[in-house]
Amino acid sequence: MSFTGIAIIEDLEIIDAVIKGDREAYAALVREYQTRVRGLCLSILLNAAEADDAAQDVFVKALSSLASYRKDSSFSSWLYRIASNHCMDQLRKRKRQKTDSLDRVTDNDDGEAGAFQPRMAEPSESLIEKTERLAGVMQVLSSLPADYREVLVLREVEGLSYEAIRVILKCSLDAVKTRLHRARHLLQDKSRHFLHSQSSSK
Amino acid sequence: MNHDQLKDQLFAFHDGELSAESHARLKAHVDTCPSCQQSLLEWKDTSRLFLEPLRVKSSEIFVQQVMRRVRALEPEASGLGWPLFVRWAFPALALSVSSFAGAFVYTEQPLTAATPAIFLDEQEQPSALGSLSSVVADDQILSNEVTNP
Repeated sequence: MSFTGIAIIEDLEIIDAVIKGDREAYAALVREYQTRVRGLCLSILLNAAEADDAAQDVFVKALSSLASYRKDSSFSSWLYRIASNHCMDQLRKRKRQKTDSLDRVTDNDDGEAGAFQPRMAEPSESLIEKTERLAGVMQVLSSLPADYREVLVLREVEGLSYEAIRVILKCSLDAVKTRLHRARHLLQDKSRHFLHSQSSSK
Repeated sequence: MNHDQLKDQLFAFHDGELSAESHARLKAHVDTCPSCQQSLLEWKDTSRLFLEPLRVKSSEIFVQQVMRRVRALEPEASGLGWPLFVRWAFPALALSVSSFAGAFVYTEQPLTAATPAIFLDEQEQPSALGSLSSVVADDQILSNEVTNP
């Protein structure tokens, strides 16, 4: 049996234990999937604090509907789907609130900057350079549609197959390929533009 | 297959989503094509620069925060514990037993000692019905007298 197969069986055993009332067993699932769920939330919300709050909501939601989880799809796909739906809802709420409010905190395209705190880069990089670089990265990412960022993270960061992405996004395989293709081209265009402006400003 | 057609499959090749045959064909092409090699390299750099920062580190604090919320949930809200049909089974069973018992007592009531003798004595029943019909008839006569004095 493959490693993935063993992992799926372990997940199912934990899920059964949790459904029977052993809530503490749920910690193992949270520990296992937290980085992926938080990463996906971050890719959509582009705000570390909001992403972590959203990821917490996702795990609580998943627990509440664990009894309805059908074991014909993998637990991770099911969890990703909850995360994706929840973050897209959050994004819509945020946009509605922003429309209602005149107090604009940021001036970028989507206003999705906030407290984005990506991973630290090479130690040789100075703090100012690092901050500038990360601000640029954030600016480029926030100029992409959220569903493009989502599909890019599922493929590039999580390394999921097109089929697994199709299950999570509940769309056709062709739609996955098209979205991924467009997302990549758009990111490359934006990054070229960004790198060009960076080099010309120096 | 020309260069442009092969280049269109470059991302699928990078993602490992081609069939073994197509993968081998594209690999043979990429190995000898500087333009495709450059495209792949460019994408890898873009991905590393812009998508790697979205990779999140594991955090035990996060796990504990989630578990704190999980522990604070009521069993009903968490949807866990006994399955729904089991949780409803006891009250439903109690309700059906009490309904059945009530119906049984009601239908068996004429046979108890407290039941009026009129219902116990078969001989008396026709006269009881007769007296009821005579009361109805008296009422009709009375109402006729009131409407047609």
